[in-house]
Amino acid sequence: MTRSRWPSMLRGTLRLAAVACLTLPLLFASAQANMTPHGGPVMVNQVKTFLIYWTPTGVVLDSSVTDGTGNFRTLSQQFYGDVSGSDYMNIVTQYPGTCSGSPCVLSNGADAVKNIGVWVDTQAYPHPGVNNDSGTQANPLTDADIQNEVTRAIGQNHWTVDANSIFFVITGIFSSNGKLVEECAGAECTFNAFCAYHSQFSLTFYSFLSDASFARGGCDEGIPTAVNTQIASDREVALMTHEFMETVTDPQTNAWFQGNTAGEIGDLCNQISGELTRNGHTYAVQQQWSNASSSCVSSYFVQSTINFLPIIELILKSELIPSNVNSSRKSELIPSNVNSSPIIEFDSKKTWRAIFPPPL
Amino acid sequence: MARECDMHLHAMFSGLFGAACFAFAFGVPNVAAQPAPAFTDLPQQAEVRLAITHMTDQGIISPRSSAAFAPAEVSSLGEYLASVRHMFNLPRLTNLAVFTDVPPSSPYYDAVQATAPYLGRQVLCFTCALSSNLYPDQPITRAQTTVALVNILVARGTLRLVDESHAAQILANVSDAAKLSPPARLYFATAISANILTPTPTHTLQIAQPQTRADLAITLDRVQTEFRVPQVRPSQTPN
Repeated sequence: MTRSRWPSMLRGTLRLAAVACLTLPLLFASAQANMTPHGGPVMVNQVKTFLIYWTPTGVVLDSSVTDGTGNFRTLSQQFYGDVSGSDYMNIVTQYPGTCSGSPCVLSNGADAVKNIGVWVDTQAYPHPGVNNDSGTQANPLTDADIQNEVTRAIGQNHWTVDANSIFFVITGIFSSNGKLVEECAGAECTFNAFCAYHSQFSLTFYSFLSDASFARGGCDEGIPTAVNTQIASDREVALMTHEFMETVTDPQTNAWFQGNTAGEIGDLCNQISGELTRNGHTYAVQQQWSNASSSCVSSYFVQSTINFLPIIELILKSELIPSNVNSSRKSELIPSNVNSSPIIEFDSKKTWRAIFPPPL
Repeated sequence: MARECDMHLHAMFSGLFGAACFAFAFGVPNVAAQPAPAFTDLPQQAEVRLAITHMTDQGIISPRSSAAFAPAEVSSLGEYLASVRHMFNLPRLTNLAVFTDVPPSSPYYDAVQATAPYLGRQVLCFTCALSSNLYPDQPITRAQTTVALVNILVARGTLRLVDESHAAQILANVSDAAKLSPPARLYFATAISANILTPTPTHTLQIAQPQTRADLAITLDRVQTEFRVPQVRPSQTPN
């Protein structure tokens, strides 16, 4: 028998009463246009993050704390331990893509996201020149330098790369003068355009994050006060959430962005802060665009509405595998508006599954 | 009539005559009454000299002094936005744009408020979390001039963005087009097809290349002519 395969996000246990309707009322619709799909893939479970702190001698992450780091690194790592299953992470479930020809979307379960690796690299910045000023505005790092750093980190740490891996390269500030480590990606630089970006090479997805300390360059993410005692750390996490959520929903820059402005999920809410509290930890995050409400949000709830079900999948645990589906049991389980016959599937764990094709 | 007049302009090279000819052709106020400054630093190329004269006559680009235009000097983003605001007579935004480094006291504040909807920063830095600074004193690039002009002309209804397939054809022989993001391709292809942007002789876009004041004069003069943008007076204040 040819069996229909449904998107993984719709699989689970006894979902009859809790399948998602992805069409929240547009109660807060604004004039700004929603993001549109462009046919590319999105990231799916498990999204794996790798944090590379590139801080040679003389470069610190936060000069306002005595050790130059404080909670800067721990906070960003801890974030990825908390974000899975959150209403914040749920925002990206609005944006399915096409992966290897099939529909795909992140399923926001307990292990949807995990931080796999951390590396503090103290190797000097490349091309120091005669003035030994690599990383300054006069001799900024380049995107090629960042890509090389990602490649080096993968090799040094024997990290595995797949289509759902994101490598963050975080630089800092020069402790001698408090100036930012500068970087340019083509014509756009930290000193004339951006705070951070995400990109890819050879299907390795990475993000460069400048140091958000003290709002240098207007990269304060709209966060005026610290929620974790160290403003630079909070701002850096918020900056990271911008790039993280964009990379998940548009890793190859051909999945989700707004056609008019080319803005991705984070761009449409740039510099607009929010908060995420999870497992007793609170984070400053950047708000993200929700197509459901046509607005910037810090959380997204999936509303259960049986009438909008495109398909219904039932999975029941049973000690005995039934030889067929009992008609009275079936009528109890099947909503009145579904008239099609189920397809029954069994597996080795004595689980049977009744799948009802969508009504015509 | 306008086209014929324009050709005369290029051939004869006369700032006074040029402005009068434009005014006659387009039926706009005659700005030729303004005495043409006698710049001593203009390049030899007649087309460049004429474009500079057009721009200074209308107050679109301000000279450095009564005798100097500084054509080879790199222009800044702020200067460029002030020129564009004046040339297109752009009104200020209803909802103000907020840039940390362009406060109301900035000389560029009004220009930035008028041109903010057309900057297309996200098109140029598609995957970036953009800074809340605008950096108005930084050199203006070919990319920035191009995207802003395309956006304004599209908004005026005198230009339409090309589609993906058309863009692919236009950019097929442009070697550095592969570095452009998908949305940026549409902008640069549109600009090439509309003669706003000309690839280099080696078939590259060089979008990061800073623009000199002479470069800007040529580009703005060409756009004003090709797209029939009415002449403006030096003192004209946007609505």
